[in-house]
Amino acid sequence: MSSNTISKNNLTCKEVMNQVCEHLGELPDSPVCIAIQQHLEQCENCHNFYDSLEITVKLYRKYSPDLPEGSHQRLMKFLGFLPDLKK
Amino acid sequence: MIETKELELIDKAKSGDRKALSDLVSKYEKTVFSFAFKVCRDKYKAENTMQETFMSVIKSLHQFDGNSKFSTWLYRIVVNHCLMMARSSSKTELIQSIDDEEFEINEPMVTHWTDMPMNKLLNDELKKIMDEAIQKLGAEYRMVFLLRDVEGLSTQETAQTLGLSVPAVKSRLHRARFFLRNELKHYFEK
Repeated sequence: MSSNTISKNNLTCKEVMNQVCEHLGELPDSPVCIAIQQHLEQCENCHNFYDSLEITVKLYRKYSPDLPEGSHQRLMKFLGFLPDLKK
Repeated sequence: MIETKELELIDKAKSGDRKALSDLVSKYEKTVFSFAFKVCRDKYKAENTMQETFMSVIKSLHQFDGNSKFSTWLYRIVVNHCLMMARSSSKTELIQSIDDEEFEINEPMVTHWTDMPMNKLLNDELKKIMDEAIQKLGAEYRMVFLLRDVEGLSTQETAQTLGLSVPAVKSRLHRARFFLRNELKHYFEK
């Protein structure tokens, strides 16, 4: 093993937690990612931490409002696509 | 590469076809409103931002050269309007930057948050916490998180939209995710 090869054995939980979202999803086949994935499979604490990051992102993705009632008409009027009935 | 139909619509709109312009606005109004809301967490402000964004789109559509996706170009405009809105707001952002020490994580015991489906999780109490949490983030972190993670732009597109380098996007995204996760932690681990 070369000196700069990363294995699951030399990644601490602290290192995994601090690198997990920087590496996963960007270069999944990189040595760091593979080491992180192996660590996550074996460490419940880090797995829970990674899950909590994913839940955070999914919640913000899900929390999306509908257009308010009448906003389409107001937009079209604002842009001059509809006549202003008040005039 | 832009879809042919959309390119045709844009070309027609550029040449002054008002129906095409109106269709283009209708196609993207939900995207722009939704993004503006996610930045300012206020429906009234989001609607104003949407209107100003499309006014800018109409004025500068001739500058769109098709070298990027139309949506990426549009996000650049809405981001600028959101930033202007944020600057004019009297509310002070609490977290302008996140230092290395502040975002470093080393939790000895992490609780499993939940197996509940997202739609059941998203109650009013959690929405309020999410609104407050993201508003504490400085605009430079908030925009990166929203474009990359929520809107699903690539890292490269996010960098292009915000005029940042790819490493800067990665770094800000990393910190924003950690910060938001930590803000929500108290809700899930109480």
